[in-house]
Amino acid sequence: MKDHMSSQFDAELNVIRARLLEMGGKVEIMIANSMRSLVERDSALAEQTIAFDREINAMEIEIDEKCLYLLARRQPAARDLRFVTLALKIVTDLERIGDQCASIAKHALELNREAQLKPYIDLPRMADVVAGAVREALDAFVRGDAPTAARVCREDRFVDELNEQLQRELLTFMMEDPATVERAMRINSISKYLERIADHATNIAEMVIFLVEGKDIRHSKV
Amino acid sequence: MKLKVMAAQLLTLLFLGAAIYSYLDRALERYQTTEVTQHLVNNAGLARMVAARQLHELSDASSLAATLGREIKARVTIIAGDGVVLGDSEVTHRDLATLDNHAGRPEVRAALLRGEGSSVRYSETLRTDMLYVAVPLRLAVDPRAVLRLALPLSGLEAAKREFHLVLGGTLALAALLLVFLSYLLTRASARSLHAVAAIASRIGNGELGTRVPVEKGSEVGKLARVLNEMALRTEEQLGRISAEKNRLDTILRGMGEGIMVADPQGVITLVNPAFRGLFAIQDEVEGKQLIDISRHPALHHSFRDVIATRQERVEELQLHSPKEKTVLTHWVPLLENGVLQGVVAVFHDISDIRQLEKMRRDFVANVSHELRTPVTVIKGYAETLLGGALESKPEQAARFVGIIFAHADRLGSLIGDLLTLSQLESGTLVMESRSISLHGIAEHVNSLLEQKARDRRVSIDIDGLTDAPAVLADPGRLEQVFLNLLDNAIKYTPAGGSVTVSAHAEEDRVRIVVQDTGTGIPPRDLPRIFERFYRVDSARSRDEGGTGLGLAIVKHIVQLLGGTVSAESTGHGSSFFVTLKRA
Repeated sequence: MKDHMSSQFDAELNVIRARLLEMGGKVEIMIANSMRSLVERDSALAEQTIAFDREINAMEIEIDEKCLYLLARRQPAARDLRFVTLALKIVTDLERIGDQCASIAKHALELNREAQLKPYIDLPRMADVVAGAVREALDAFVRGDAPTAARVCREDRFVDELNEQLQRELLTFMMEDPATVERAMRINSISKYLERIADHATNIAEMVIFLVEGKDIRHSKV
Repeated sequence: MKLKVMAAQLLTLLFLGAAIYSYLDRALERYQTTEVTQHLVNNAGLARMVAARQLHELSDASSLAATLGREIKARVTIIAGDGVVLGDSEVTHRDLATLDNHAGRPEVRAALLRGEGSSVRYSETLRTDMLYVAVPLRLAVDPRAVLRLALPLSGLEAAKREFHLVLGGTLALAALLLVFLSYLLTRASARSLHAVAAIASRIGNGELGTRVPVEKGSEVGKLARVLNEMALRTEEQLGRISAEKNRLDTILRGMGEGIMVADPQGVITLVNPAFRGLFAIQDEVEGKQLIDISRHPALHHSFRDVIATRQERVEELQLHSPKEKTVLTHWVPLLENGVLQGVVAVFHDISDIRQLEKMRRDFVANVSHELRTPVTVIKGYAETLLGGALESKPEQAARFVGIIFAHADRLGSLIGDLLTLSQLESGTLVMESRSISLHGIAEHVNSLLEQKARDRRVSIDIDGLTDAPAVLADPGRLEQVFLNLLDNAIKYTPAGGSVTVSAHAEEDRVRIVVQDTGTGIPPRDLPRIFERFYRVDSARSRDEGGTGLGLAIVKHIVQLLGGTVSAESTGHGSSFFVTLKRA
């Protein structure tokens, strides 16, 4: 009887893990699509991306329910308890990333309606770094790879620097030509969203380290 | 098994032994009894004859009995017709009276009835079984007198005891011998069987080359031969299966398409190297879940769909990591007797095909557009002129003709570029191979572009070419290369910017650098700028009067000259690198 229960329990844990990773996969697609809708000026894709956020939200609810059920019914201990509670947190970070992508897509819609301010060079480059951070954080989760997760945390500052740099450039743009203000502001927002997505990736990475090593490294230097 | 055989043999022996024993025992007893009885009967006959002669008075009976007893060496009893014992060789005359009346004795009665009687009785006096034989004396003085002889059967007992001992001993010996021989024999055959079993077990454990030594003729030998045949057949079978597996392995490994086999729960059971390459996996994959290998939502959606519907499906998948790829995926459900065993997926990388298709589509669309635009303008203005403007508005008419001429010129350049490109690609263009001074060419091109550069307030610096080594090239074509590169640089550099040209030697090559401080080329477009009609910013490029073919022509010329061309860019400018053969 105990064996049967424990294998059912393992199956339930496995389902949570799989759904979490699938949600991660969908979020990764959203990041790519939201940026593509901007760079390729594809408004249909932007609309699609905004609608897609609903799937992310639905998955958050589903995984939350599964985790709470597990906590209530199975009362896990030690590593399994850590896993479930961290899963709950990671789900929140993923859902936020989804929201940020939808916001990027919304700005892209507006930007696509007007002439392009300048060729998008720095934003896509930043987006590549950010997408990479999210991907590596999730890969680290899959492999239980603490060193990779630590690296994601360390490299977050590059995204912060890119964001600041872009904001400075946009400021100069706006000062030179006031007609560009609205578009520049939107690009500024997109940059900020990307920076926030990177922060969420860092959160996920911190959770991975906690799960693997039992060390809570939040709010400290890695 | 040895024990069973031995036990069976022993039991048989014991059974037979027991049967023989009891039969012989009884037979012997009967025989001995009969013999003794007959002996006594004979003696009784003789004793009767003696008694007939000697016994005149009944009172002589006692002494006669004693005498007879001594001679015959048996107990002799003479019994009167009324049963009174007249004489007994074992009893004194005096004690005769104490004896019972013997009339009732069975042998006595039988003797009187049938002429002879015998019986066996246990005697209290002598404490042993006695054999009694009685015959009528037929005395004149007492016609019913009986003579009785008796012998103790103790001798019989002794004989019987001896018989028992001998037979018993023989049987025991036989049994021991049997056990010993049986043990020896079974041990011998058991050892052969053991040997066969030992080798069979080695074969079973995988040493398929082993064979059992065959002793001809014996049952075990037959077994050994059969076993060897079986081992041989198994070896061959395994060899065939192994070869088949190797063949499949080689096929899977050599395939360009990725193969993945998974069970209904999503656990991967088999992949080939092409699959690993497609999804950039280094670690072990077999046994892991699909979600651990790739998080692509479409992949999982398709997998779940195939499992649910048990139908094949074909679809294109857009992978983003590790690289942008278009993959044609073919899913097939694995069914065995109606039970779903899993899924096979074949992945075909069609990124290149899609890319080429897109390029072709773009090219055709671009050419049509490029050609149509000037033609439309020409037609429009010509129409206006024909409509009456030629006569009514002569100054405007002159301007219109000018515009028509400009666009016709543009059309001409476009078609010229297309033809050049076509010739370059088909290889029909004849190119010279001469030693050329880079500075000379650059100066000439500079003079052609001077005005345009000045108008846009962009400076051109070709001093970096003054000491550059000579290259091996076709002068006309090289000029075209410089023209296109410098023209682009000027076009995409804002006012106040600069274009710098330099060159240096690199072993047997010369590396030329055309650098500008322009707006740069986005990373996404960088790999594609050498494609025909590829434009980063279409609106602006067309306004500038570009054909969109400049860089494509540069690439083809440089490659035909045996060199390479590449570009780098940041947000602050671009650099184009051309390597040519040194003269």
